Amino acid sequence: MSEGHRAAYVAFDRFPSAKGSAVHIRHMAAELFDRYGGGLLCVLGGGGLPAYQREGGVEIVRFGAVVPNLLDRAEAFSAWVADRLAPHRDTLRLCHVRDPWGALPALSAGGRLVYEANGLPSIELPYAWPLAAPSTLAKIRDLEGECLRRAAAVVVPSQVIEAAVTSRGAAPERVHLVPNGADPVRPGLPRPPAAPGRYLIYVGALQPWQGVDVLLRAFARLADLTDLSLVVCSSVSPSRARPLRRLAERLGVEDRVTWQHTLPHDEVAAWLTHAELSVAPLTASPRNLDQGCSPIKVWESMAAGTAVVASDLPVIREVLGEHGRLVPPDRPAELARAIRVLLEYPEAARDLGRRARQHVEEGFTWKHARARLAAVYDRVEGH
Amino acid sequence: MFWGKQKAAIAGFHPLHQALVWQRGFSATQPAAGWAALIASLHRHAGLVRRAKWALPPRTLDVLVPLILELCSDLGPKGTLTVAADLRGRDVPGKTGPSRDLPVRPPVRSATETLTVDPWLRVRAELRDGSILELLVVDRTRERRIAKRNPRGKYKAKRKSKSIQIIKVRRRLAKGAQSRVPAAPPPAWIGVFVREGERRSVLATAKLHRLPQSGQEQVDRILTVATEPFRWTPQAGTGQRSES
Amino acid sequence: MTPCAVTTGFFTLGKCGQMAVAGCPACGRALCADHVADGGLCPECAAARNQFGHPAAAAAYRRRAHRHRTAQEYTDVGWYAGLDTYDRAPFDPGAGADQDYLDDGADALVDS
Repeated sequence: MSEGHRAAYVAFDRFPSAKGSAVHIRHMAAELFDRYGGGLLCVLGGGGLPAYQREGGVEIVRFGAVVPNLLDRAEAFSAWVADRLAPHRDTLRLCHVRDPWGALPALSAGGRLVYEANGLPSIELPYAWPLAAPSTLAKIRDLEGECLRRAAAVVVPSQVIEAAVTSRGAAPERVHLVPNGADPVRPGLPRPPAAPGRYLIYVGALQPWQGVDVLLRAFARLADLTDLSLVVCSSVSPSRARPLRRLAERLGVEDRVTWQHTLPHDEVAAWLTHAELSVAPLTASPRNLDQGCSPIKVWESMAAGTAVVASDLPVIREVLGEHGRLVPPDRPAELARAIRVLLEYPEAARDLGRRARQHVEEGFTWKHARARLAAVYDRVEGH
Repeated sequence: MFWGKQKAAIAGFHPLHQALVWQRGFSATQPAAGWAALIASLHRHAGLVRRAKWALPPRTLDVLVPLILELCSDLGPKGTLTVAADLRGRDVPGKTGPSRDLPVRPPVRSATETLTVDPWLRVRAELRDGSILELLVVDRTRERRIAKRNPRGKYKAKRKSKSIQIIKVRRRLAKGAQSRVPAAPPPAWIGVFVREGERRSVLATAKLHRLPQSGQEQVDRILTVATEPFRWTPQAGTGQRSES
Repeated sequence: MTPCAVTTGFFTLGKCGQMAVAGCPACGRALCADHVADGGLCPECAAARNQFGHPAAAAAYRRRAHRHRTAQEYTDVGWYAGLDTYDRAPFDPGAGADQDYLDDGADALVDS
């Protein structure tokens, strides 16, 4: 039997997976476990992943129970985490969590709590679960507030989320900004064999607030550029892309759109590197405006040296700064025009890409993010 | 002879099982192994005894057995569990107190109130962390009989009864055991009293204004009340108390 | 000696601690001879698969079921908000914006 762990990372998310959050979990957990010489990683299982895995000092346990209802599943996960953490109660020094259902068991598990708020379920859940009642969301909001208030430190990836968690009662001096990052793509990655000639690329999940529909409409306006294709690298399964495919058919662009699903992370980098432009058409929904996010797709496009065209939202401005092209959100015509301009001036696009890459290399690689996170851990331990 | 086979089967049961059949109750102290034998015997009952008169009293299989099972899992290697169960129900002599007349005004002719107190379960367990858990469950029923007469001389009699249940759990901690006030208060329906001393004891009491409607609910209620005293010591799980 | 890591007890939780002779194929925890439940699983994994042949599996199931039913009672186990059936129903599989319920792991609470 193992010694008690000193650190634990809890995420209600499948790991590893093709999603941006998995990249995030990998780097954040690595920092935590390097610091404490191993630890316990509690994540969701399924998809053929083993329930238990041990890598050096790191124990990975995966929650595998099939509970159809999401809230029931979250609560079952919570209870399961409490069970997993209980044996380490005496030794546990730090718990790093990402959501209230991970935070609840961690709060009573001994050790200090670092709450990493990449998003807030009370804002984000209604997008996937439109029938959720406002009173339910208010309860979830209370729950978030409780966890945020009791956390020793709250880590946020953007200033917009910082404002959101502060409004939920997190003490401002305990909220720390740790922007996401991306590792620079090594030059000379081979062109993916399936890649069309010239292409725009979208990388990420396909929720409505990602604005992929806006991108498709904008792309339909570029019908005169017959050599141009659009590649959608979806991090979710094909069945979730069905409504968007239907839209592409209606717009008459289906034969110019290439769909790639759940590609491994390094293949995505190759796709990104060889794209003309990367597009992040996030919509101006409360999810992006009030809750905020730190879109990894933008970070990775920058790191690949590909020029980014993105919606003009506070969260994007924070990430992209001067190193990309911003367009008003939810406006296909404006988006199409911006893409067309950048395609006509390839030097300008290359220059944007180069500057973006430099910007990332100078301060926003995962190494930098990990150093910032380490500083937060230092402060938490110092108290 | 009538029912001979079934009578013979009962004679082969565990003595406490026989006491449940004949006296509808028992009181005994034994270690976990003894209780396991009783429970094994109880599970054979339905297959061997069909006569309704000799059926196991209510609350045996759905309340008593689960409770004994859970408590046995917490007993120390030398710890014993004492159970005094009285499952005769409340309508037996000795459980009903004297009736009392209530003040009345016309048209009510008389109103009497009777209290029935049925302490049907007492448990004492010596747990493996050195503490002692005591449990008491009492059903109390208040019955009121009202007689009235209307101006035409017609009599009416009414009965109203209300049952409540009181659950008391006391845990006497081991000598010198660490304890702390729990971070969050217990649910509103559970009261807690702490008596300091060489051995701190935590008493949790609850009064249910409605009797539990199923065996499972009853067990859950009892165990929920019994949870409270355990929140006063640092959570186990890392106790790693090896039984060997 | 590797001690058996099966949780015992209802209120006073502890590990069994006897010498382990096997490991659970599902979760990998060490098991002593008394705690090898149906199919060589540990009691909790067996209970999760609805195999209650072993008394410890039945106990694990009851312990878990009781905790589940009474999780709303004590605030400090974490259910501050007390989400009831009405709150839960909108999160049933059929109620999502995406009608195809597929367990592809895209069900995280937040997306970074």
